[in-house]
Amino acid sequence: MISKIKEFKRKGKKAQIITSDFFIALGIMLISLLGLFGVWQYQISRFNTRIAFEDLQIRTLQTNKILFSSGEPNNWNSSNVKILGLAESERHISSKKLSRLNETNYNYTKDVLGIEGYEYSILIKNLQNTTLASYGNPNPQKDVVNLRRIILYEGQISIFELKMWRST
Amino acid sequence: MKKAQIFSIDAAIALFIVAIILTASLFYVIRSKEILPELQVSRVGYDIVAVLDHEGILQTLDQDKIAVELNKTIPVNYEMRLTLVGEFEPLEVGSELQKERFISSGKRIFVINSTDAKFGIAAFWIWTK
Repeated sequence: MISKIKEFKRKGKKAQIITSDFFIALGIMLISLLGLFGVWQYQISRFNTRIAFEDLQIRTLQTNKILFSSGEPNNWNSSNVKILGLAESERHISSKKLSRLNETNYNYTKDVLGIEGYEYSILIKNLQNTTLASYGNPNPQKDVVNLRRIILYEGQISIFELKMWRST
Repeated sequence: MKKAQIFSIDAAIALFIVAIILTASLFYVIRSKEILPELQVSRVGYDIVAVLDHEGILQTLDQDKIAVELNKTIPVNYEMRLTLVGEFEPLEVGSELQKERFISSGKRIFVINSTDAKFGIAAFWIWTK
Protein backbone atom coordinates (compact mmCIF):
# COMPACT_ATOMS: atom_id res chain seq x y z
CA MET A 1 0.00 0.00 0.00
CA ILE A 2 2.74 2.43 1.01
CA SER A 3 4.65 1.57 -2.07
CA LYS A 4 1.51 2.33 -4.16
CA ILE A 5 1.15 5.80 -2.55
CA LYS A 6 4.81 6.43 -3.19
CA GLU A 7 4.26 5.44 -6.78
CA PHE A 8 1.28 7.83 -7.12
CA LYS A 9 3.29 10.62 -5.53
CA ARG A 10 6.11 9.88 -7.92
CA LYS A 11 3.66 9.87 -10.81
CA GLY A 12 2.10 13.15 -9.60
CA LYS A 13 5.49 14.87 -9.52
CA LYS A 14 6.27 13.55 -12.93
CA ALA A 15 3.03 15.04 -14.23
CA GLN A 16 3.95 18.42 -12.71
CA ILE A 17 7.34 18.33 -14.38
CA ILE A 18 5.72 17.54 -17.74
CA THR A 19 3.22 20.41 -17.33
CA SER A 20 5.88 23.00 -16.49
CA ASP A 21 8.02 21.67 -19.32
CA PHE A 22 5.06 22.06 -21.65
CA PHE A 23 4.39 25.65 -20.55
CA ILE A 24 8.04 26.64 -20.97
CA ALA A 25 8.00 25.15 -24.47
CA LEU A 26 4.72 26.88 -25.24
CA GLY A 27 6.10 30.19 -23.96
CA ILE A 28 9.22 29.91 -26.11
CA MET A 29 7.07 28.96 -29.09
CA LEU A 30 4.71 31.92 -28.55
CA ILE A 31 7.61 34.36 -28.17
CA SER A 32 9.15 32.96 -31.38
CA LEU A 33 5.84 33.25 -33.20
CA LEU A 34 5.29 36.82 -31.97
CA GLY A 35 8.85 37.77 -32.97
CA LEU A 36 8.38 36.24 -36.40
CA PHE A 37 5.04 38.02 -36.81
CA GLY A 38 6.60 41.37 -35.79
CA VAL A 39 9.53 41.00 -38.21
CA TRP A 40 7.14 39.93 -40.96
CA GLN A 41 4.85 42.92 -40.41
CA TYR A 42 7.82 45.32 -40.38
CA GLN A 43 9.25 43.87 -43.60
CA ILE A 44 5.83 43.91 -45.31
CA SER A 45 5.38 47.56 -44.37
CA ARG A 46 8.87 48.41 -45.74
CA PHE A 47 8.09 46.43 -48.88
CA ASN A 48 4.76 48.24 -49.41
CA THR A 49 6.42 51.64 -48.95
CA ARG A 50 9.03 50.73 -51.52
CA ILE A 51 6.45 49.41 -54.00
CA ALA A 52 4.43 52.63 -53.62
CA PHE A 53 7.52 54.76 -54.24
CA GLU A 54 8.55 52.70 -57.27
CA ASP A 55 5.03 53.08 -58.65
CA LEU A 56 5.36 56.85 -58.20
CA GLN A 57 8.74 56.80 -59.98
CA ILE A 58 7.24 54.88 -62.92
CA ARG A 59 4.29 57.30 -63.09
CA THR A 60 6.72 60.22 -63.15
CA LEU A 61 8.74 58.66 -65.98
CA GLN A 62 5.56 57.98 -67.97
CA THR A 63 4.28 61.52 -67.42
CA ASN A 64 7.66 62.91 -68.45
CA LYS A 65 7.55 60.84 -71.64
CA ILE A 66 4.09 62.20 -72.49
CA LEU A 67 5.15 65.79 -71.76
CA PHE A 68 8.23 65.35 -73.98
CA SER A 69 6.05 64.34 -76.94
CA SER A 70 4.58 66.90 -79.33
CA GLY A 71 1.03 66.09 -78.19
CA GLU A 72 -2.17 65.20 -80.01
CA PRO A 73 -3.31 67.14 -81.97
CA ASN A 74 0.05 68.76 -82.62
CA ASN A 75 -1.46 72.21 -82.23
CA TRP A 76 -3.61 71.33 -79.25
CA ASN A 77 -5.43 73.78 -77.04
CA SER A 78 -7.29 73.47 -73.73
CA SER A 79 -10.53 72.36 -75.43
CA ASN A 80 -9.25 69.71 -77.88
CA VAL A 81 -6.18 68.24 -76.17
CA LYS A 82 -5.93 64.44 -76.28
CA ILE A 83 -2.23 63.96 -75.50
CA LEU A 84 -0.61 66.70 -73.48
CA GLY A 85 2.81 67.03 -75.10
CA LEU A 86 4.95 70.14 -74.75
CA ALA A 87 7.71 69.44 -77.26
CA GLU A 88 8.24 71.19 -80.55
CA SER A 89 10.95 68.73 -81.59
CA GLU A 90 13.33 66.34 -79.78
CA ARG A 91 14.12 67.81 -76.31
CA HIS A 92 12.88 71.21 -77.45
CA ILE A 93 10.05 72.44 -75.20
CA SER A 94 7.72 74.90 -76.89
CA SER A 95 6.96 78.12 -75.00
CA LYS A 96 3.68 78.37 -76.96
CA LYS A 97 2.53 74.95 -75.76
CA LEU A 98 3.59 75.82 -72.25
CA SER A 99 1.46 79.00 -72.31
CA ARG A 100 -1.46 76.92 -73.64
CA LEU A 101 -0.89 74.55 -70.73
CA ASN A 102 -1.13 77.54 -68.38
CA GLU A 103 -4.57 78.29 -69.86
CA THR A 104 -5.72 74.73 -69.09
CA ASN A 105 -7.33 73.74 -65.79
CA TYR A 106 -4.86 71.87 -63.55
CA ASN A 107 -7.27 69.06 -62.60
CA TYR A 108 -8.21 68.60 -66.26
CA THR A 109 -4.51 68.21 -67.17
CA LYS A 110 -4.22 65.47 -64.52
CA ASP A 111 -7.18 63.74 -66.14
CA VAL A 112 -5.61 64.01 -69.63
CA LEU A 113 -2.23 62.80 -68.34
CA GLY A 114 -3.93 59.89 -66.54
CA ILE A 115 -2.55 60.79 -63.13
CA GLU A 116 -5.67 61.23 -61.03
CA GLY A 117 -4.72 60.68 -57.41
CA TYR A 118 -1.33 62.35 -57.95
CA GLU A 119 -0.14 65.95 -57.92
CA TYR A 120 2.57 67.42 -60.09
CA SER A 121 4.50 70.56 -60.87
CA ILE A 122 6.68 71.61 -63.80
CA LEU A 123 9.55 74.05 -63.47
CA ILE A 124 11.84 75.26 -66.25
CA LYS A 125 15.06 76.92 -65.14
CA ASN A 126 18.11 78.13 -67.00
CA LEU A 127 21.60 76.88 -66.09
CA GLN A 128 22.01 79.83 -63.69
CA ASN A 129 18.98 78.46 -61.75
CA THR A 130 16.63 81.32 -62.73
CA THR A 131 13.03 80.16 -63.18
CA LEU A 132 11.82 80.68 -66.74
CA ALA A 133 8.41 79.01 -66.51
CA SER A 134 6.33 76.97 -64.10
CA TYR A 135 3.02 75.14 -63.91
CA GLY A 136 1.08 72.96 -61.50
CA ASN A 137 0.78 72.54 -57.76
CA PRO A 138 3.64 74.53 -56.18
CA ASN A 139 3.38 72.85 -52.75
CA PRO A 140 4.93 69.39 -52.87
CA GLN A 141 4.20 67.04 -49.97
CA LYS A 142 6.50 64.31 -48.65
CA ASP A 143 7.73 61.42 -50.84
CA VAL A 144 8.21 63.53 -53.95
CA VAL A 145 9.85 62.15 -57.08
CA ASN A 146 11.88 64.87 -58.74
CA LEU A 147 12.88 64.20 -62.34
CA ARG A 148 15.35 66.57 -64.01
CA ARG A 149 15.96 66.64 -67.74
CA ILE A 150 18.11 68.86 -69.89
CA ILE A 151 16.18 70.60 -72.64
CA LEU A 152 16.20 73.48 -75.06
CA TYR A 153 13.78 76.25 -74.16
CA GLU A 154 13.55 79.51 -76.09
CA GLY A 155 16.87 78.78 -77.77
CA GLN A 156 18.86 78.16 -74.60
CA ILE A 157 19.96 75.06 -72.72
CA SER A 158 17.66 74.74 -69.70
CA ILE A 159 16.57 72.34 -67.00
CA PHE A 160 13.12 70.79 -67.00
CA GLU A 161 12.03 69.69 -63.54
CA LEU A 162 8.99 67.49 -63.04
CA LYS A 163 7.89 66.81 -59.44
CA MET A 164 5.21 64.25 -58.62
CA TRP A 165 3.67 63.03 -55.40
CA ARG A 166 0.52 61.33 -54.17
CA SER A 167 -2.55 63.43 -53.42
CA THR A 168 -3.40 63.49 -49.73
CA MET B 1 5.35 11.28 -23.74
CA LYS B 2 7.77 10.36 -26.45
CA LYS B 3 5.02 10.81 -29.02
CA ALA B 4 4.34 14.35 -27.75
CA GLN B 5 8.04 15.21 -27.88
CA ILE B 6 8.31 14.05 -31.45
CA PHE B 7 5.27 16.15 -32.37
CA SER B 8 6.73 19.30 -30.74
CA ILE B 9 10.13 18.87 -32.39
CA ASP B 10 8.40 18.32 -35.71
CA ALA B 11 6.38 21.56 -35.29
CA ALA B 12 9.45 23.49 -34.16
CA ILE B 13 11.46 22.33 -37.18
CA ALA B 14 8.59 23.23 -39.52
CA LEU B 15 8.30 26.68 -37.94
CA PHE B 16 12.04 27.20 -38.19
CA ILE B 17 12.05 26.28 -41.89
CA VAL B 18 9.08 28.55 -42.61
CA ALA B 19 10.77 31.43 -40.76
CA ILE B 20 13.98 30.97 -42.76
CA ILE B 21 12.12 30.83 -46.09
CA LEU B 22 10.01 33.92 -45.28
CA THR B 23 12.98 35.94 -44.07
CA ALA B 24 15.16 34.94 -47.03
CA SER B 25 12.46 35.74 -49.60
CA LEU B 26 11.73 39.14 -48.05
CA PHE B 27 15.45 39.89 -47.73
CA TYR B 28 16.01 39.26 -51.44
CA VAL B 29 12.92 41.19 -52.52
CA ILE B 30 13.87 44.22 -50.41
CA ARG B 31 17.56 44.11 -51.34
CA SER B 32 16.84 43.81 -55.08
CA LYS B 33 18.62 46.48 -57.08
CA GLU B 34 16.80 49.68 -58.01
CA ILE B 35 17.01 50.21 -61.76
CA LEU B 36 15.16 53.51 -62.09
CA PRO B 37 17.93 55.78 -60.68
CA GLU B 38 20.37 54.15 -63.12
CA LEU B 39 17.95 54.80 -65.98
CA GLN B 40 17.91 58.46 -64.98
CA VAL B 41 21.72 58.64 -65.26
CA SER B 42 21.50 57.23 -68.78
CA ARG B 43 18.70 59.65 -69.70
CA VAL B 44 20.73 62.67 -68.55
CA GLY B 45 23.61 61.49 -70.76
CA TYR B 46 21.37 61.25 -73.82
CA ASP B 47 19.86 64.66 -72.99
CA ILE B 48 23.28 66.34 -72.89
CA VAL B 49 24.47 64.83 -76.18
CA ALA B 50 21.16 65.62 -77.91
CA VAL B 51 21.20 69.23 -76.70
CA LEU B 52 24.83 69.70 -77.78
CA ASP B 53 23.88 68.25 -81.17
CA HIS B 54 20.83 70.52 -81.58
CA GLU B 55 22.84 73.57 -80.57
CA GLY B 56 25.43 72.74 -83.28
CA ILE B 57 28.23 72.41 -80.72
CA LEU B 58 29.25 68.86 -81.67
CA GLN B 59 29.41 69.93 -85.32
CA THR B 60 32.15 72.48 -84.58
CA LEU B 61 34.56 69.58 -83.80
CA ASP B 62 36.39 72.09 -81.60
CA GLN B 63 37.65 70.23 -78.54
CA ASP B 64 37.89 73.31 -76.30
CA LYS B 65 34.45 74.63 -77.24
CA ILE B 66 32.82 71.21 -76.72
CA ALA B 67 34.56 70.85 -73.33
CA VAL B 68 33.37 74.30 -72.20
CA GLU B 69 29.76 73.67 -73.30
CA LEU B 70 29.79 70.19 -71.77
CA ASN B 71 30.95 71.60 -68.43
CA LYS B 72 28.22 74.24 -68.58
CA THR B 73 25.50 71.73 -69.40
CA ILE B 74 26.30 68.79 -67.13
CA PRO B 75 24.45 68.83 -63.76
CA VAL B 76 26.68 69.37 -60.71
CA ASN B 77 26.29 65.85 -59.34
CA TYR B 78 27.30 64.14 -62.58
CA GLU B 79 30.56 63.50 -64.43
CA MET B 80 30.82 62.59 -68.09
CA ARG B 81 33.30 61.56 -70.75
CA LEU B 82 32.51 62.24 -74.39
CA THR B 83 34.33 61.02 -77.48
CA LEU B 84 33.63 61.98 -81.06
CA VAL B 85 34.73 59.72 -83.89
CA GLY B 86 34.20 59.84 -87.64
CA GLU B 87 36.05 61.04 -90.71
CA PHE B 88 38.04 63.48 -88.62
CA GLU B 89 40.63 63.45 -85.84
CA PRO B 90 38.97 61.71 -82.84
CA LEU B 91 38.11 64.03 -79.95
CA GLU B 92 37.90 63.25 -76.23
CA VAL B 93 36.53 65.60 -73.60
CA GLY B 94 35.33 65.36 -70.00
CA SER B 95 36.43 63.48 -66.90
CA GLU B 96 38.45 60.28 -66.62
CA LEU B 97 36.35 57.15 -66.20
CA GLN B 98 35.82 56.10 -62.59
CA LYS B 99 36.23 52.57 -61.33
CA GLU B 100 33.89 50.67 -59.01
CA ARG B 101 30.74 52.67 -59.70
CA PHE B 102 27.80 52.46 -62.03
CA ILE B 103 28.62 54.03 -65.40
CA SER B 104 25.99 54.44 -68.07
CA SER B 105 27.02 54.74 -71.70
CA GLY B 106 25.37 55.52 -75.02
CA LYS B 107 25.94 56.68 -78.56
CA ARG B 108 24.39 59.23 -80.87
CA ILE B 109 25.02 59.74 -84.56
CA PHE B 110 25.17 63.42 -85.46
CA VAL B 111 25.19 65.08 -88.85
CA ILE B 112 28.11 67.44 -89.48
CA ASN B 113 27.24 68.39 -93.03
CA SER B 114 24.09 67.10 -94.66
CA THR B 115 25.07 68.11 -98.21
CA ASP B 116 28.11 65.83 -98.38
CA ALA B 117 26.63 63.31 -95.90
CA LYS B 118 29.36 63.87 -93.32
CA PHE B 119 28.51 62.51 -89.91
CA GLY B 120 30.15 61.54 -86.64
CA ILE B 121 29.43 59.27 -83.70
CA ALA B 122 29.31 60.76 -80.21
CA ALA B 123 29.87 58.12 -77.52
CA PHE B 124 29.42 59.06 -73.88
CA TRP B 125 30.00 57.59 -70.43
CA ILE B 126 28.21 59.21 -67.53
CA TRP B 127 28.18 58.55 -63.77
CA THR B 128 27.21 60.26 -60.55
CA LYS B 129 29.90 61.85 -58.37
